[in-house]
Amino acid sequence: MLIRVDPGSGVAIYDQIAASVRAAATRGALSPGERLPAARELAEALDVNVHTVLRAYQDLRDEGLVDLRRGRGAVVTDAAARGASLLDAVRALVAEARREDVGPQTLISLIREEYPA
Amino acid sequence: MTRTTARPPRARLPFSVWIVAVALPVVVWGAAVALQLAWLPQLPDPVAIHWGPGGADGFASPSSSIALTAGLGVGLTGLFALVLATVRGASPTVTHKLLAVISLVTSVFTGFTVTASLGVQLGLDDARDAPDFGGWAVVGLAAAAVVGVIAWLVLPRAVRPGEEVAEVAPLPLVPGERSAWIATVRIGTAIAVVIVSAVGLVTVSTVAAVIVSGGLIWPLLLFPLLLIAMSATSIVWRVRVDATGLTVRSVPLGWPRRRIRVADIESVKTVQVEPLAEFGGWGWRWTPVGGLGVVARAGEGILVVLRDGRRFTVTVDDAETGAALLAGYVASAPGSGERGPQDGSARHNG
Repeated sequence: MLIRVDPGSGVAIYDQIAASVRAAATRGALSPGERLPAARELAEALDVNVHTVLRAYQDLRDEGLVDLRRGRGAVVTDAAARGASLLDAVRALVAEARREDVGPQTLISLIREEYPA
Repeated sequence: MTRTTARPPRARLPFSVWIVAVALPVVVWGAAVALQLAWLPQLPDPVAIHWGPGGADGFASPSSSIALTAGLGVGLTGLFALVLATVRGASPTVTHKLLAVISLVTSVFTGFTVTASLGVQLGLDDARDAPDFGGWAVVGLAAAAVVGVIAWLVLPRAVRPGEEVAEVAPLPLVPGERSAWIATVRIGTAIAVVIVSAVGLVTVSTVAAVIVSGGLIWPLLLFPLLLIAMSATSIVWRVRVDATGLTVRSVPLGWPRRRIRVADIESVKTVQVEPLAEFGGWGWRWTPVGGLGVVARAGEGILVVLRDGRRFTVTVDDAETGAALLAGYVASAPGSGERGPQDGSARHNG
C-alpha cells in the first residue's frame, strides 16, 4: 500500500501516515482482514522513527479502522469497507469546487461547518 | 487493483516448435526402443547398465533397460509438451525454442547412448565382458549437438517476450517527499502445492533410501535439505519502494534479497508476466533476455531497466502504484541521480 509522507507540508508525519491508510481504505485498496506493513519496516521505508508509525497505527485503532494485536500487527477491520460509497460523492464535490473555482481550504471549511467534529 | 494491460490470450505455438519438441523426439525414442527390442534375443541377461573405472559394474535385465528407455522417452517428452502447452502471448520466445531443442537433444543423446551401451554387448554371453563404450557416448554427444544446432536454425526467429509492457506515469512528488509503497506477494496456491508435494516426495524417498542403505548414503540427505531451504525462501516476498529505490526480499528470512538504488534505474514499467514463457518457471529466475525475475505468479508486475541495460522484474499486485512511485523518484533524481541524502540528519518524530 502507498503511504505518502511530505516532511515539508507542516502536517505531523503520523497524521500523514494515518491519512494515507484512511484514503486507501476509502478507495477500496485495503480490504478487511488485510495487514498493514510492519511498523518497523514502514518506519525504515519512510525514514522516520518507529514510534511515529506506531502513533499513526494507534490513532487508526482509536478510530476503529484497525485492530492492533501483539504478534499480528495492525489488521484492517470491517470499518474499512465503510465510506467507500462516499468516494464518488467526494470526487463529484471536488470537481464541482474546481468548476466554481473554490479552493481546497474554502471547501474544507465548508465541510467543517456542515459536519462539526 | 487496476490491471495495467490485458492478459494475453492463450497463443498457438508455431507448428515447427511442436515438430522439434514432440514429434521428432517421439520418433527418436521410438527408434531407440525398437532397435533395443530387435536386439533382445542377442543380448546377455543381465546386461551391463553402468560402467566404472574397472569396466562394467552395474547390471540389470535387458527388458527393464528397454522399459527405462521407453519410460524416459514418454516422461521427458510429455514434460516438455506440458510446459509448452501453457504458452501465452507472443511466441516462440528464446525460452520456447530452448525447451523444444532441449527436448530433441535429450532424446538424441540419451536414446543414442543407451542404445549404444546395449549394442556393444550384442552376442556376449556374460555382460561382465562388456567393452567400454565411452567412444559411443562422445559420438552421441556430437550427434545431439549437431541436431540441436540444426533444429535451432530451422525454428522461426525468436520473438522478445514481455511485449505486454506498459509505460508508467510517474507519481508527481514534491521535493523532499519520502513516500513509500509496501506490498506482499505470495506464490500461487497451485504452484505451492506442486512445490510442497515435490519436495515432500524427494525428502521421503531420500530418507527411505538412506534407511534401506543402513545409513551408508547419508550425505544424500543434504539434497532434500537444500530443496527445503530453497523452497522456503521462494513462497512469500515483500516488495518495497521508497526514496532509496526498490527492495525485494524473501519473507520471513529476509534473504535472498535484491536492492536497486534509484540512481541506477533507467526506466520503470508495468508488465504482464508469463512465468514459464518468460522465466522458465517460478521463484528467483534469471534468463539472458528477461534478466533477473522474482516470479510468484502470472500477471501484473513491475519491470525495472537499469542504466547498464540489465532488467529486473517482480510480480506483485497493484504494480501500477508501486511502479508510479518508483518512477516518481527516478524522475525527481535528474541526470546521474547524484543526490545527497535529503535532510537525513533530521529524523521526524511526528
